[in-house]
Amino acid sequence: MLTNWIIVAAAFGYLSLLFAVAYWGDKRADAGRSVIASPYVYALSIAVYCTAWTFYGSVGRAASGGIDFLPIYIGPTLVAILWWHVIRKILRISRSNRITSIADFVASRYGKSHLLGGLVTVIAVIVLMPYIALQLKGVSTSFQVIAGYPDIVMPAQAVGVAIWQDTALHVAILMAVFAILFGTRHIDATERHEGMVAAIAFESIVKLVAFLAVGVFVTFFVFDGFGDIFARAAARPDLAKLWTEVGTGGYGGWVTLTLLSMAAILFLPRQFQVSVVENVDERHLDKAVWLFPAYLFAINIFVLPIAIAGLLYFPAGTVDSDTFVLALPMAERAGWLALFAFVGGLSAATGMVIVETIALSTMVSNDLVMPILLRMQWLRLTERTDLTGLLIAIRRASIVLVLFLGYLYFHLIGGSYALVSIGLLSFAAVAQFAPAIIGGIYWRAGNRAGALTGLTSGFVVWVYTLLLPSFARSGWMPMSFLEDGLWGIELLRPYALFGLTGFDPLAHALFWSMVVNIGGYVAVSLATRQGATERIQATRFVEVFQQPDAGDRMRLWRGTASVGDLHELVVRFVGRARADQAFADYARSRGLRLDHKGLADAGLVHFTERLLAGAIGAASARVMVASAVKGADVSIDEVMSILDEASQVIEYSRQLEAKSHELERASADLRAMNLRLTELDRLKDEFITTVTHELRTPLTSIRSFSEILHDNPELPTGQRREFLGIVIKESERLTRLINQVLDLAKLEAGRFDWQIAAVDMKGVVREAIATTSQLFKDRAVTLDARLPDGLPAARADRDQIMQVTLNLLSNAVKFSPQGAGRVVVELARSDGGIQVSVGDNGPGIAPGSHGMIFEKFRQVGDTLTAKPSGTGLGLAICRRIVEHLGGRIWFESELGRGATFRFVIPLAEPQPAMATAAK
Amino acid sequence: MNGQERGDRHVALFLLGLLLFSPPLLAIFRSADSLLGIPILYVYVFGAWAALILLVARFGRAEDDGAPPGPNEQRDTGARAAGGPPRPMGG
Repeated sequence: MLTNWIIVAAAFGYLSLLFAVAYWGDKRADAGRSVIASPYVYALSIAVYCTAWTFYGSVGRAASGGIDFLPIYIGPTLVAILWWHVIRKILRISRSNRITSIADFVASRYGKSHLLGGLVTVIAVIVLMPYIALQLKGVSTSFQVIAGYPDIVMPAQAVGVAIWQDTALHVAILMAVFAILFGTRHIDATERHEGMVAAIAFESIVKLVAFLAVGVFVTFFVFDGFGDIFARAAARPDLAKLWTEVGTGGYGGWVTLTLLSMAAILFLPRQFQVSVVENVDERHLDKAVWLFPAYLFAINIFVLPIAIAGLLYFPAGTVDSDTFVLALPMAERAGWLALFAFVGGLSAATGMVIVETIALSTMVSNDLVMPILLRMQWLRLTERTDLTGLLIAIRRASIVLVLFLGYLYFHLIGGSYALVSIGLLSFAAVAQFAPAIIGGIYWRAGNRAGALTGLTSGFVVWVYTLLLPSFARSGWMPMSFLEDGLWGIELLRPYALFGLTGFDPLAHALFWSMVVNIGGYVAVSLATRQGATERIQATRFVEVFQQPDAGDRMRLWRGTASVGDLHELVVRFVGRARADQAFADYARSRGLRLDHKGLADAGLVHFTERLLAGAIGAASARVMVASAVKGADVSIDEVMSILDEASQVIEYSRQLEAKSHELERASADLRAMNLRLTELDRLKDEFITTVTHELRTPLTSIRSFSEILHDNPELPTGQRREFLGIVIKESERLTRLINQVLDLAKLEAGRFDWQIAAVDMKGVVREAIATTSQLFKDRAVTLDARLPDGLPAARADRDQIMQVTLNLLSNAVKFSPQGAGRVVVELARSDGGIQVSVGDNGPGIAPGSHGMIFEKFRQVGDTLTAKPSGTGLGLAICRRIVEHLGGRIWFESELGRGATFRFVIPLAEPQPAMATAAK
Repeated sequence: MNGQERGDRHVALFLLGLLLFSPPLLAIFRSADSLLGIPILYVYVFGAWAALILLVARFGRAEDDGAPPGPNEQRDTGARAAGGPPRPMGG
């Protein structure tokens, strides 16, 4: 029934259908009616994750390890839940940076580094070779199995088949043609291939339906439902241990596979191609996060029943468990179902190969070949305006090259390994991209040197611990490399590096490669600095949600904020009146009617941003508008920087406040000063008035007596003498007054000629007493001088200090009662200098006058009734002198008990207390 | 439900998934017992998987993400789905 002819016709018929779907998809896209603009198509295209490996290999693995095949699908399920965070961010970054492949992504993130892009490309090509070979092997094996229908014959090594008869080669050629036709049809900025995506989605349906069909057939027609299969298996101890004992990998294996598949779903070039590059609308993620896991769930639900059924059905060792999906329908003579299963496996393989080669060809041309060509100056490529022809040629060539290499790998060593093991080799290598990419989108400090170090060292460890051993197992290298390690060094055994044993090879390789990869990335990133471009790119990547570029912002912000929201936002910063006015102007100029409940268009958002920028600065405006529009997208960093600005403003206002306080203080000082000046001015006027008054009094008497003498020449001699005496006395007083006024003026103006020297105060006081002794005698006042010896010298102007002492003595005499008067002069050592005190037993000074005793022209006593007995300048002069010399003068007095004036003059040289004590 | 809350739910569901499929929990179900003739381990793994997908479908989506939209309406529906309903700005 199933001749080779029918099988080949079915295969070609199916591939033709694929071409037709792709062609239709492209045509629809050209006509602007995209068939892939749906979350369902998006989720189905991501299901390109399920390859021939899933289709055949899962059953094979389940047959030996029970649920150990599952982590490869659990991992993607878990990651899919996080797509809303991770893929959405990568999508946004790729959009705004026009990224077209994973190599491009890494290169762009780390300062548009050609070196990194090239490295990622080379690694990707190398590590995906076995994976592509795996698909070819799956197709080839399945063809040979079904070709034996109705007999179930396990294929001999494919190597034995002549090349032109090799199905794998034919399939590879057809896939290359498909990829060239639909993957490199034209070059555009987005690198989207709608026809290809449509075909891939179609393939995902075919492989799912085919697998489910086989599953239902085996479970419900060959056997009697799930319960029957498992009940029979439970009766066989060798099968029951599939779910009672830990599978081949143990816990470590489970965790390793989960991690690897998590990395694979994100970073396999074909997954990046369908989930990021081919994404039409990021909102499709909303549904894809559960549609894709649901797909994985559906395609896996019959894996265990088929595996166990196969083990029950076929005698042990006769049929390879990797072919159960085909062999079971064949054994039951369900030829058409077997053919459908074959087509399902074919579709799984072609889907993977096509997308992978297209993705790799984009990387090879954009990140490997073009940078090199552009650097070759003699090609003068930079001067050519249209390079699309060249690009397309490079891409087509790289598609052929990649497929050829894959075929070569399959042909040379593919026959020796189980399907799953080959695939896992690739997964482990792809995981090496994870630190650089995940770090790149969440950690700003990650830099180029770090990414280069991590990627290179991780890849080297992968080669050493997985790739080279796989060569050794295939007979390309001596097995001693595996058993004894490189150069026979035990520590370098590839499966037990540095003595790490007890892990399966995959977990072992993952551990060591991640240690050096993550370690290298983090350590070098921390140790080295970023260049300018790197820094800019790092920020653009990490903060992509805060700073979309101009073109994208329009797209992203459209329809996500209401006019009312924006209006409220503006009101908050510019006030309601101005906001109303601005919005009204905007509406009028555009001829619009703004509905506050309606959605704001990009223009209004932009307008809002500009309005705000005027108020709070461009950067803050961007953040504020973004917060109103998106709600969730203000990062902690942004908020912190706003807070920073705000706290700066607060700091400024605090400084302003401090300044204004200072000003207030200064103006208060000024006011006080002004008051004092006014007072001084008043005092000066008063002084002048007083001085003129004081001068006029003696002048008047001199003039009157002179007139009397002049007009009456016949005055008796006695009287004449008396009058002349008065004139002389008044003249003296006048002279003294004028001298004192001059002295005071000089003192106050600071123009006095001081003769500062060491002065012996005892001598000064003695001299003053001698000078005034006549006064004492005249008024019969007794003087009691207490002048001790050995006092140190004072630092003063001798004449001036003499003046002070004289003033005090004559004042004391003047105020002492005539006859009973008693003046005490005392000289003493005191705090900080030498103290001179002059006390009398006169009437004392009324408490009300205490404050003004040292003021000019303040004479104590009733000036109206009693004739002033001095000039009123003496004590004022005394104070000026003493204060100028650095001392102080004061008095103690009790009304009716006399007064004591004291002043202290500093010592000539400060004497140490010890020296004084020693004396 | 705003974006932040939605993001948090996704993280929570991811952590739940990690727990459900962690080796210690699997070890609990690794026994010869069966439910309706199916080994309890398989019932648990697939049951937990299905439950997780349903939870993501139920709680991970935006609020007014209703019936599957046609190709033309879908953009608008999606717009609200992505941003959540317009919220009044707090004063």
